[in-house]
Amino acid sequence: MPPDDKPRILAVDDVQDNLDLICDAFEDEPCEIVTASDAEEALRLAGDECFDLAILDVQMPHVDGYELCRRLHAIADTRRLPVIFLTAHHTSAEDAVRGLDLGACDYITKPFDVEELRARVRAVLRAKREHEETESELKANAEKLGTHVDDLQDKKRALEAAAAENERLVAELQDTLRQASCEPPTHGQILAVYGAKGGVGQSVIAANLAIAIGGVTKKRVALLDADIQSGDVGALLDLSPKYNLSDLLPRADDLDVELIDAVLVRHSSGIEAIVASDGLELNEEAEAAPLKKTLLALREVLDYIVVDCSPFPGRCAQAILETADTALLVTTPEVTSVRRAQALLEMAQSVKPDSDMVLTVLNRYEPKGDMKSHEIEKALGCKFSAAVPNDPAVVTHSINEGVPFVLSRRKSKVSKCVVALARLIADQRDQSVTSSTATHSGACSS
Amino acid sequence: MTSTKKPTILVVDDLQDNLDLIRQILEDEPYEVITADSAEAALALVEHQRPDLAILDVQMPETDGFELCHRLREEFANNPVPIIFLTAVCTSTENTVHGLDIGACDYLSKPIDADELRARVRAVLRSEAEHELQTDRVKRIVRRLLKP
Repeated sequence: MPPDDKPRILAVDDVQDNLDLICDAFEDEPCEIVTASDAEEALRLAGDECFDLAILDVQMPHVDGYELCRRLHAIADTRRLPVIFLTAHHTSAEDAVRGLDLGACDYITKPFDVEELRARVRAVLRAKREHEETESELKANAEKLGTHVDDLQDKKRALEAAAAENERLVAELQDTLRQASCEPPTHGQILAVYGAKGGVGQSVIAANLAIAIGGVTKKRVALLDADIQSGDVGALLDLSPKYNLSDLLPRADDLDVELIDAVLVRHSSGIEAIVASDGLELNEEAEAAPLKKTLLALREVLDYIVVDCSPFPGRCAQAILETADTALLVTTPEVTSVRRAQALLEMAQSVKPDSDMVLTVLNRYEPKGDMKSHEIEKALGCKFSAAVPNDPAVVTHSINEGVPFVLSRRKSKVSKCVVALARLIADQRDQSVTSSTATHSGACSS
Repeated sequence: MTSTKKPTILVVDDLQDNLDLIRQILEDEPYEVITADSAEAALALVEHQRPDLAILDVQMPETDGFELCHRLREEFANNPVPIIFLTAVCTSTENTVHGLDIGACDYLSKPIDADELRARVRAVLRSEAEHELQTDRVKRIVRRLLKP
C-alpha cells in the first residue's frame, strides 16, 4: 500500500442496507470502500483490483462469508488480505473462534458501534501498513545490497582479471629479465696465435699454451692447427689422427657436434686437437671462409680454441683474426722478427682495436742478448704479456720427443712462463673484458 | 518467533488472580507465558525477553495499560510487540477506540470466552508469523548475498 494512496476496503454483504451502512460509516475516513453483493462479485473484484482489507458478512446465500474468506486466502494475490467478519445475527463465541481460525483478524458482531468498527479497521490497516513498511524497507535494502554485491563481484572479477594480467606481465618481465641477466650465451674463446715470421716458435708456444690453459682452467680446450699447408701440431703432440682439418672444411656449412667430435682427437694431456691436412696443398684463398665457419662451429662446443695460424698474413690468417677473441703475436728478439711483428701488430690492431684483444709474447728471450725486452716493447708500442726465455735444451728436446715441455718439464722456466700466460688468458676471460691487460707487465717478467 | 520456538506471551495485570486466569487459558496452547504485575516490570521483561505478543490490562495503579502501550510502541518502535488490551467490565466504546488507536491490534472486554481469547491470540500471532516469514525470506536472501 503506497503511503499516499487511500486504503481500499472491499465490503461484501448480500443486503444493500448493510453495505450502505458501512459506506456511511467510512465516509469521513481516509479510505475507499468498494462493495460487492455476493462472493462471486467479491472474488472478481479482488482478482482485478488491489485491496487492503475485506469486511465480510458471514451469512450470505450460496457462498457464505467463511467460504469467501477461505477462497480469497487460497488465491496467491489475496493470500494475505486481512479479513474482518461482520455478522448480522447474534453469534456465539464458537462462531467467532471459527471465523478467526479461518484466517480473519477480527470478528465483529452486530449491532456494532460505528466508532469501534472504524477503530478496529484502523487497527488492522495500521498493522498491515507497519508490516508492509518493514517488509518493503527490508526488500529495498536487500535489493540495494544485491546491487552492491553484484557491483562488488563485478569489481572483484575486474580486479582478478587485472591481477592475472599483472601476474602475466610480471612473469613476462621476469622472463625477459632472466634472459637479459643470464650470461649471454657463452661460447668458447678463440685465441689466435701468430708468429711474426716463420721459425719464431709460435707452434710450440701454441701447443704448450693450449695444454697449460687446459691445466689451469680444467675446461674443454682444443688446439687447432690452422697452418693448413705445413702444420706442426701433429708432430708436436705426437698425434696422427684419422681425420684432420681438411675433413671439416668442405662441410663447414653444416657442421654438427658429432662431426666435430669425430675430427677432434684427444691428447694425453686432456686437451683435444685438430691437426692440419698432412702435406695437402690447400688453396689458402678458397679455405678462408670455410675456416671461419668451422671456428664459429667449434666455439659452440669448446671452451678454448687455441689456433696455430699460418705465419704470413694471408686470407686464412685474416679470417681467423676476425673470428678470434684474442690474437697472440709471437716474436723473437731479432730485428727481422720485430720488424715483421710491427707490421703484423698494426694489421691485428686494425682488426682488433681493443688493446685487450691483441697480446704479444717475446719468445727465446735472452736477457743478456742484443735486444732488451723493454727496447722491443718500445719499438712495438706495447708491453709483452710474456717473455719466454731461450732454453733450447728443454724446448728442442720436447719437440723431438713429441711431449710438450709444460708436461715433461713443468719446473722449467719456459713452462712456468707459459703457464703464467695461460693463467693470464684465463683470468682475462673470467674478468670483464674491459679490464686492461695491456697495462699488465709481462706474465713472466725477466 | 520461529517454528521451533514456542511463542512467548507477556501478560500484564496488577491482580494476581487475573494473571493466573489468563495464564491458565493460554497455557492450553503451546505458548510460553510470562507475567508482570506492573508496567515497569513489563518494560523490563520486554527488554530482555522480547515476547511475541503482550496482553495488557488497562486499569493499573501508577502506569496504566494505555501508557504502557505508548511506551512499548515508542521504546520498541523498530521491532514492535503486538498488543491486545484485555479490560475489566464496563468498558466504554471510547476506551476501545482509544486503545485501538494508540496501537493495539485488539481490544477485549471481560468476561471473555476462553476459546475466543485463544482464537484472537492465534489470529494476531498468525499475522505476525506471516510477517516474519516474509522478512525471514528476505533475510535469508541477504545472508546468501553476503556469503556467496
